[in-house]
Amino acid sequence: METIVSNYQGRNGHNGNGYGRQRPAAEVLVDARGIHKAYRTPAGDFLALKDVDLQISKGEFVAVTGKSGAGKSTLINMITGIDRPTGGAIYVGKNPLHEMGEDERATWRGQNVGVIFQFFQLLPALTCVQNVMLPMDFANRYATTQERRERALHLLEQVGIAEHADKLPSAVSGGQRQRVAIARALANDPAFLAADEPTGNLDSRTAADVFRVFEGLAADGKTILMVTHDRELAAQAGRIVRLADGEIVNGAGQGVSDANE
Amino acid sequence: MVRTRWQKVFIDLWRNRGRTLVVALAIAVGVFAVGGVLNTQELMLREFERGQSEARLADAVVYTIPFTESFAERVTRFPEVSVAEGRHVASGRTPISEGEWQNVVTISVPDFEAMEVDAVLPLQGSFPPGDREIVLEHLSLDYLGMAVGERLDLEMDNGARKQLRIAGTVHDPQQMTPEIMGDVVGYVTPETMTLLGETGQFTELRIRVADHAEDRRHVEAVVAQVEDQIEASGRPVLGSRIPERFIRPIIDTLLVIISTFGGMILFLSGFLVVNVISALITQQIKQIGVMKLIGARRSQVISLYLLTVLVYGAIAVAIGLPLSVVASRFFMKTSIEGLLNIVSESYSLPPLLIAAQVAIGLLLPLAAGLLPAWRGTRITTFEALNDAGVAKRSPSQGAIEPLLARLQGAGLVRRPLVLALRNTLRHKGRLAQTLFVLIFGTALFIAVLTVRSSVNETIDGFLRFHQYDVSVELDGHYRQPALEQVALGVPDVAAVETWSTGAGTRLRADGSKSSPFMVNALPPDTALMSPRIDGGRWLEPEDGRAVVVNSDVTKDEPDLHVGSEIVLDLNGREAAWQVVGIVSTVARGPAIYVPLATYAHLTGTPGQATQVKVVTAEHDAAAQEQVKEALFTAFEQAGIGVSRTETTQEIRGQNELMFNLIVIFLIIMALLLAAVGGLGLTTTMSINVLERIREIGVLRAIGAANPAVRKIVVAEGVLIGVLSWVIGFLISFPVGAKMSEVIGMALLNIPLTYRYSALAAAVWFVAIVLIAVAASLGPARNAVKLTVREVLAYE
Repeated sequence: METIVSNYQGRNGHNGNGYGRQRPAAEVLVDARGIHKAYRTPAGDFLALKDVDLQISKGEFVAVTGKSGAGKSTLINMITGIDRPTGGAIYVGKNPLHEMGEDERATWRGQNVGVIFQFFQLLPALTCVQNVMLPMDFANRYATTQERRERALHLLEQVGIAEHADKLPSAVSGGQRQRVAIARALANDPAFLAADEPTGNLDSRTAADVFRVFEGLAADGKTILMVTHDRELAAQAGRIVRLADGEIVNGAGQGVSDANE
Repeated sequence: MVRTRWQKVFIDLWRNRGRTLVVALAIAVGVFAVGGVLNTQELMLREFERGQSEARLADAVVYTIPFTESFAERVTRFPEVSVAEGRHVASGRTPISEGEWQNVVTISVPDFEAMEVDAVLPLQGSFPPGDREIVLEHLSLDYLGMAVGERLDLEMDNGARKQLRIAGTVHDPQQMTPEIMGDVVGYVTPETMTLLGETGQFTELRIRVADHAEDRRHVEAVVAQVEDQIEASGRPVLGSRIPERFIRPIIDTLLVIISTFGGMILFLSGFLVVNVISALITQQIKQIGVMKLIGARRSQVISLYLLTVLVYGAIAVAIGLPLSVVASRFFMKTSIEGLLNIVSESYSLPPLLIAAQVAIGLLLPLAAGLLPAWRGTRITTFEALNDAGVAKRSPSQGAIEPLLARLQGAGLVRRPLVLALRNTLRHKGRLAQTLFVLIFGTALFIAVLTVRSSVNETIDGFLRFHQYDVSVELDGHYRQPALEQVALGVPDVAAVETWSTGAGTRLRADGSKSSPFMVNALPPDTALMSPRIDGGRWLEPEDGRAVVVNSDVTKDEPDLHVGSEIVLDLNGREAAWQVVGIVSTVARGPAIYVPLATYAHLTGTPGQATQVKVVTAEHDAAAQEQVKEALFTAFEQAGIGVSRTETTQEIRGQNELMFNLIVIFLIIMALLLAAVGGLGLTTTMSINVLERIREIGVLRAIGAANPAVRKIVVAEGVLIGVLSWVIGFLISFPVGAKMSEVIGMALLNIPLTYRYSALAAAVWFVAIVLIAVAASLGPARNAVKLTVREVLAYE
């Protein structure tokens, strides 16, 4: 069986390994300043993020690490517009996510961000290819259903599972589901990909394969923000941002690379 | 190629095809109910009105001594009269089996081909009838079980007996079926009437007024003018009547009943859609989150659920609409046409009506689904993605939890029941929504059958009204002792009373006259009447000019009440009377009751009577029939002319038929309500189990065996069913009472005699428990079929 790595080559022709480290700091894509996020709980307000500042440049591959409950997922939710901060400002490109409504953020996300989760979040009733076509349908991208299908098949081929295109997610393995999720995230060709523990539910070999896909995407110029607590994988990203108790303890600044630490 | 999002809708519908079918069926029942109502209404009203308008019914009938056609033509020239035609109506009888006779009303018509009033329309055979021929009203021919071309053996009240060839059948829309009216009706030429020993001239002047025919007071005024003119020409006026349009009120009542229930059934179906879509959205919260995650706007998500509802609606229309068309035509042909004497020209339904039903079937569920879809998709992407599948909020403690703990501690309830109770009561909002459909269905089901019981009770009451078994109407006044002697000489006669009947009118203070009503003159201490007194009292032996009126009289003369002084014209004798009581109508039109002695004295017939009421030793139909025939023979032999005989069993049959149509509709409605209620429970149970499939997995993971899980699920279903039954049962009392009152008032101008249908309550209880068990078993079986791992991973 072909591996993802052999299948997915960056557009620049190399496999993308360590690419983020070689790329100079450039135009800021994500600019989060003074982010607060509090959750109401029966025991009182819980502050998940405390005055977080984070800038990510275009084309950067940033890994976010930290212990469980450190605020990693909350941070990625803020930056992808899944949730809204209770304080502070987040701009992705020129879009002020902190000011946008739920629907506006959904539309923006559909066109500009690909989001990948640990548990894949595929729609169980749709086949793999239909799952990949759905974001194009919602965003009204590509003129016809036929065009969308062709693109979806192309993306599935890129992530190495074209032969499973017409199977239901329940009929393929965890690693294959995650590749479908990645293909879906790429459906509308977003410049920015956000992944929350994308390898957390996979065995180490498959995890490494999936990570290589991200490296390839980074090599292709995609900006990637990945939450992981796998230090080894994180070390291969361009920059590591470390969170603890809702605060960034390391790696907040634009283009700061501490991947070798 | 279909867009991916729509493909998702169709795939979801197909994957849950059991639920799709159940929901679509529930809506189909609603579409069927409303479609059936609208189609039946269209066919019934259109064909009834067409028949009525083609017949050009008389607005009034004036009775006088025999006259010729030229006299009727002179009346036609009166400015207020549009047309007047003569008729002669004679009664007789025909043998139908050994010793059994059937009353026959024979009507002579001056010119069958130029009938402009009360026209009859030829249906079968030859028309018009020739000499020695008769054309029968088509329902009469069916009733007699005879065929065109056969000979009808007719014995007239005047003693003449002739055989007439049945030349054909006609449709006379103002005749109801002989099963209700008791009489077979036929039409002959004046020449044939002469052969039957009757006058070849006419004694009834049937009139259509020039305008304002719907204004009863105006018609009465025209009749008064015509009567004055007749009297001025030297002829006596023997009486007059304004024909009651009694079929139309029955139709109107029927339409009110079926429209109301049709609407309620559709409302229940709509509510079911609300429940299903709410549940579907709750079940798919995570999917909604994913769709929003990948860029779906709320409106796009809503559109998915609305398409789901649209598909439910489309399936429902595809099932319900053709069935409603077929059912309304079937019902029209098998019940309505016969009972209301409608001869349908066509069963076609206007395309606009069909389009309206399609629109109702599609749009109403859509409207019902909009609110839950709107509410359900309000959830943010974050909340939706973090929905764990198990309820976010822990069950509220309230008073239930400690109570359950105490019950369980005391060993009063077992653990599965406690779990079922806790599950049932967990989502109180959802439970309320579910229960609403079932409570509403339960209450209406019982109430509808309570109306049916009340109809039966009312009919029984009518029969108790008449405590006699056989009534013999004589052709004139005869001495009371002679009548009693003849009657008591007949075997199996237990008791006899003699009454008199006649026609009377009220002379109003403004000089106008009321429509005529039937006058019953009877001994005040009669043992043969048990009227339901609505106001005042019944007649007493010391009463002089005391009158008891029935509720049909007070309907026509609304100023009358107990204590009113009224002037009555009885056989041309005017006198003041006092209203002492009001009794319920026995479905036989306006009537008054006066002391026989006072009446006889006033009309110059002291010691005489025109009717004999007989109590038989046995009261079954056969015994009554036998005594009726024996009485007829005995009176004829004694030289006492009999014009009509009737048994109370016959009256019962006629009354029952009157109500039959309504009862049939009520039962159909009850069955449809039961169907919606049952489908509602089935859907609810499937959804409840699906929703908690993960929880079931947890239960099994911690060691619950399959039978235990099944028991919990089934107990929960039964609990919901029983809970809805208890509340619906309580509500059915006032609802049933109110419905009996409203339907009674609409139909008879009196509330039906209320009788609660305990049988309906019991039947529904058994049905709801069985449905609950059946509806829960399927999903419970599916739930335990999945492995623990699959269930816990269930999305």
